[in-house]
Amino acid sequence: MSKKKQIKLEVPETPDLEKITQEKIDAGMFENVADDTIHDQAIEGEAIGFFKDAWMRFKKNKSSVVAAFIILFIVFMAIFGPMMSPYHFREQHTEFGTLPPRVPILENFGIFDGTMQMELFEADAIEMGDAIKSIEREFYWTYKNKQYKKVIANVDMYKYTGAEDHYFIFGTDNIGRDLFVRLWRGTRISLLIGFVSVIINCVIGVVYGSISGYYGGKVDMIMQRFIEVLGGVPFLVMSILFIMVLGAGVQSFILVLILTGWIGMSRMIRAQFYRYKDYEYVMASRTMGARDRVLIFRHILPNAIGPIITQATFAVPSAIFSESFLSYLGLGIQAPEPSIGVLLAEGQRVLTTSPHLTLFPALIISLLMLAFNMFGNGLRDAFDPRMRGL
Amino acid sequence: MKKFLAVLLALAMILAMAACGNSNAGNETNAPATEPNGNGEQAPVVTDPVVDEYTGPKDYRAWTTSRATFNPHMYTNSKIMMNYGTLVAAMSVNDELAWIPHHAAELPVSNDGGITWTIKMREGLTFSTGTTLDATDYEYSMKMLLDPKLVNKNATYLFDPVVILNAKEYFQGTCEWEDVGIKALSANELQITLQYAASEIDFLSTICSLIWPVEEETYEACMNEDRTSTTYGTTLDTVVSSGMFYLTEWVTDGYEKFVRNDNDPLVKEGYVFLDSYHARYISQNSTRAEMFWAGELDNHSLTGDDYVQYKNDPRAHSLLSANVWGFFMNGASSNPIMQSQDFRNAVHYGTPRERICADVYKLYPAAPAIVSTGIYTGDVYYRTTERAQAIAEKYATSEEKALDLFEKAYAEYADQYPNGKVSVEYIYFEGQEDQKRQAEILQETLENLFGKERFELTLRAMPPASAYDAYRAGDYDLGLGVRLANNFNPWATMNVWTTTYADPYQTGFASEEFDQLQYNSMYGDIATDMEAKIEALARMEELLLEYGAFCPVMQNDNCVMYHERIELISDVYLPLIGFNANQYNITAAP
Amino acid sequence: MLKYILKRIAAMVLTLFIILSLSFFAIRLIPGDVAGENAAPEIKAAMEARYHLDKPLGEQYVIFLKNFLSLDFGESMTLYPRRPVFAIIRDKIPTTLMLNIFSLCLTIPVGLFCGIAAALRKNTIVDYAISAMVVFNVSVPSFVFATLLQYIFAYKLGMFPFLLEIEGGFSFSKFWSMILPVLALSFGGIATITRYMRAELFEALNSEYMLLSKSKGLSNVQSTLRHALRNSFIPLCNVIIPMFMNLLGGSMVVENIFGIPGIGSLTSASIQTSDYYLTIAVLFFYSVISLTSMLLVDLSYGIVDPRIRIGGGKVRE
Repeated sequence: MSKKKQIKLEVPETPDLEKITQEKIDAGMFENVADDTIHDQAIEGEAIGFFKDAWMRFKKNKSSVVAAFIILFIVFMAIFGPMMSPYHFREQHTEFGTLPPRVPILENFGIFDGTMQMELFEADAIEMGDAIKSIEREFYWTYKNKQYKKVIANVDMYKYTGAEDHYFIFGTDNIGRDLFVRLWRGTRISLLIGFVSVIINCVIGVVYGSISGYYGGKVDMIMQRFIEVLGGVPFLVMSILFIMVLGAGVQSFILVLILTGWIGMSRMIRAQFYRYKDYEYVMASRTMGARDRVLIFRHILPNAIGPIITQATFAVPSAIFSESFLSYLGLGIQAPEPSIGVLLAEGQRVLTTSPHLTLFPALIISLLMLAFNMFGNGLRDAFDPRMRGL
Repeated sequence: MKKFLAVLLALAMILAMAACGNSNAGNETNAPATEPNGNGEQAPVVTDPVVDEYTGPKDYRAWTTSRATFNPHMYTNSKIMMNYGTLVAAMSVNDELAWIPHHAAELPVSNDGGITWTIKMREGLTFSTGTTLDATDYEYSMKMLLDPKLVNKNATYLFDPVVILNAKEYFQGTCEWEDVGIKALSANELQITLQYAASEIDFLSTICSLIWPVEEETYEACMNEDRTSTTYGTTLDTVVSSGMFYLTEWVTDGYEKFVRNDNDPLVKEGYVFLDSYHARYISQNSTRAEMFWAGELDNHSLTGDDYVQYKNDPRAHSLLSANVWGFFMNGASSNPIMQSQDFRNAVHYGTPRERICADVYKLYPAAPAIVSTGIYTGDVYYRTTERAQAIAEKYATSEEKALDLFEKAYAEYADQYPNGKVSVEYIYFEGQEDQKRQAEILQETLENLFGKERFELTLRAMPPASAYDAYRAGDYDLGLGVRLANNFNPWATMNVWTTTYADPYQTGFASEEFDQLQYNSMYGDIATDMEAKIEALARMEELLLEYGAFCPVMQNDNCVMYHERIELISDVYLPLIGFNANQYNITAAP
Repeated sequence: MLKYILKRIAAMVLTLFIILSLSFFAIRLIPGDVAGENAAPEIKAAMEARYHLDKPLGEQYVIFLKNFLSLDFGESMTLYPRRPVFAIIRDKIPTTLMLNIFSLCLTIPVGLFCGIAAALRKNTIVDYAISAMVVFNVSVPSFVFATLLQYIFAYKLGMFPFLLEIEGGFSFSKFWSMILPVLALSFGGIATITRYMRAELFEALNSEYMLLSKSKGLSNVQSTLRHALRNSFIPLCNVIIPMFMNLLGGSMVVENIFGIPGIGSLTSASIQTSDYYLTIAVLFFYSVISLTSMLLVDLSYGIVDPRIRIGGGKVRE
């Protein structure tokens, strides 16, 4: 639209003709050969703003769209998943401990039918009775010159524990809580920790980085030293200290993640400022008397919006990862509340005996990582001005 | 020449066959399954008793968790300090615990009813460095153990529960060494004077078997200038062994290797069968399990998860613990309802210990009372006495009792809580998966029993050290923990509940009767009367349960699997030494 | 340059001092017990007196600083009783260092190779396969991965030993036993380097100087090797230096699983047993590492790319 207007203004019009008449040259002597209509074709369609352009390019990237849907799905399940199950995340059936997954329809095909392969002594096998679905093989095991009959059997754990009427589609943990509910509940908490900490980190990082990068010199020196002190303290030590003093809870986790999490963001912003503050357009604005605030927020910061969003996207899964690592150390979120990390840490201990306890949380965390990474990649490409129009 | 070759060939063949036989015997666990019907009868033929003839290296492959130090004055886990000797060794003989003089020539004797003890030392003993070891080394070791500037953690061995004359005073710097009741009368005679008379078993199980001698020269060389610290026993070259085994290799947190010391008197007497004992430091339980199943370790502690599959396994051996785990209940808490005895008793009765044990720990038995089944009183297990059984019955889990008592307490205290919802906090140890499960079951059960709208149990994980600190400060409601017990002297360890104990966990429990009973059975008029002492112990236990100072939950009787090639000296788990690692035997190659 | 380095080192010392002081006070916020559980009260009192814990905090701080400045870092209180903390850390470094050098020897070439391959063959099956590997590496927690490695290769297949061999000097069997832990250690690093390399090289390949170099007649291989690759290595020191320094700190997970007596497990163990001096020393050690790596990264910027100047005010003078 704007282009069209400009062009119209430039068209030479009457003033020239008036001049000519003043020189007593009859206007009739001339014939206006100039064509004052514009034959350029008007540019159809709308102007494309920064975000719109990014959106268009993002849309084209199939994998990031898929990733976005995966994220949406996980978020949806994290919110509504627990409601879909007949069980509560704290509901214990201690007698149904560590049951493998059993899924209605699928069980007829021999998968997820709640059986577990076990190596049993004959006495135990007899005791289990008809809970034994099939016997893989029998053999004699000799120990100190004495023979023991052993069987490798597929045991229907649901029958064995008397849980025939139940379907735990992801199985149960060792005090008989439904993993499906706990997993989505845990995902909710992990995502909450991830999102909240990343948002706060962004705010702190942007403000800190802008000030440090824009003013430079002494201010920058002092602010960078502060970052150095903070960054110099190992993350692990700091988190252990904090969690021990504050107790393990969602808040302390978020706090731990915020403590040093914003440093990366602020560094990035600072670098952006270093890059843009010497640009001519900034200089021009400064000469025209623009205040620092305007320069920071209107002129320089918008350049960094792409990287900020991208970095934030990558930060979410790594926050979830940090949480799971702390859980591995036993500093997990307060029981009985689950989180992906807590579930993983619990599962890892019995990885070889009840793999389902690791499998499902690991699947979710991997999906989240994958989705956020692909989504982030898509965003990065979409926001990258150098990729414009590609 | 041809003849010689033929002989050689025959020898080689025999050797090869022997090797095959051996490897068969060792790999039985991994051997492919024999068909039950077809070849089933063949199996016995394979396992011909090569067992007794095994002459290969007897290297026991164990695992251990952190080995912090070999300084005998700082470390406490006596069972694996196999490179240090003691005056008397606890050994397993004919399925019974026997006290065998080790560095002592004979068992110590007392002629005045247990006050003064004289110990004759063996002659010709040496440290691994070659220096002689005699009574003066024992005196030096004990002097250093009590040194007021060094502040050794194990100093308490000399004044608790058996009290050596002036030992505590010397430790606190208020008297001279000459006044302490430890004297080397000559190079081979040691005299110990006690403050109170002690029974033989108490004297044997403490002073005689917990004092490991240090070598003076090395100990002094490791001392710092102002004699406040010594690095003795912190690296391989500062460890001087004196026991049935010598420490020959050690990497902190890596591995350690002990090799049999053939000059040791007990080794000469034939108590020891192993050539060496090799322990790797492995902190991850699943790693240990896999290594055991793969035949690379000789023992493995079963966890509850494995237990279902292996409870009938002949390799599994149950241990018998002297300790009962449970949680302390703070009657002096600022949380009003905790001050109610009814409430505390309600928690006691409501605690689903059977379910916790059956579903979480799987291998631990539930314990409704404070004294473990592993405690000896005289020649009987205390828990088997009638008196003790009556207590266990009276305090058995009971939902009705719990609910009744809770109603009573609730009626009295509910108005002190917003919305009438009573809230109590339970502390458990961080990083312990099973204890977390226990906490979760406790929470769910109590809340369901008492009603979720009326009662809430919040959980809080803490590292053990911090948790115990909170108990000392009285800054808790309910807190998981244990008070360690002495296998032979449960009266001694009851002192932690007396009002005179200097460092108690706050529970608000204070009873004159209890204090009196504890003193009498240790030092007073019934100290030598076992029947009266059992009665006193029962009464003390009852007082604690009645008040609700500690809610017992389970007894941590672990279950250990041994590799087929390991032969235990006895299948009976003995107090203090268990299956005695010093006496393991190996009957096959790994 | 020298002046800049000196200035930075001075700042580093100050930073270290602040961290030291902070950690001194922070560690005392945690309730703890130097005598250990179930210790007799007499022992507990004497222990506290020994470590000056019965004195006011300020006084403790002064004593601590005095000792620290005279290079007396104290002794371990609970974890390795009576062992000087300096010796503890010193003895644990060689194993950690050895493993980590091996790990870097694997990480850097593999990472670079994958990154280059992916960038050169962008949007082909090679690129997708490598990207899949990267995603797998970053999305499986290291403790799950290490446990799986051990389970599959040591237990199920029996190809490798379960634990790192510590006994004896260097031998083939020791090298063999290092493979699993090294793999577990390199797992994350490879993904990081690959990702960086791919992005950098891709950018370099699409830059104008590449167009120029091609237009002046260089072959594709020549221009890639001489120009694109060289330029894309520059930002890599950003990743590799901290990676090296971090590896020096050890990895708790890998150490726990493969039975390595390394430095990584010290941190949480020392804090959890309230071993004050050891915790402070460990913290100090890690701080030195991270500060040094930051300094090295900044310096390397100036060295490899003279266009970057550090410092300067609001407007470039």
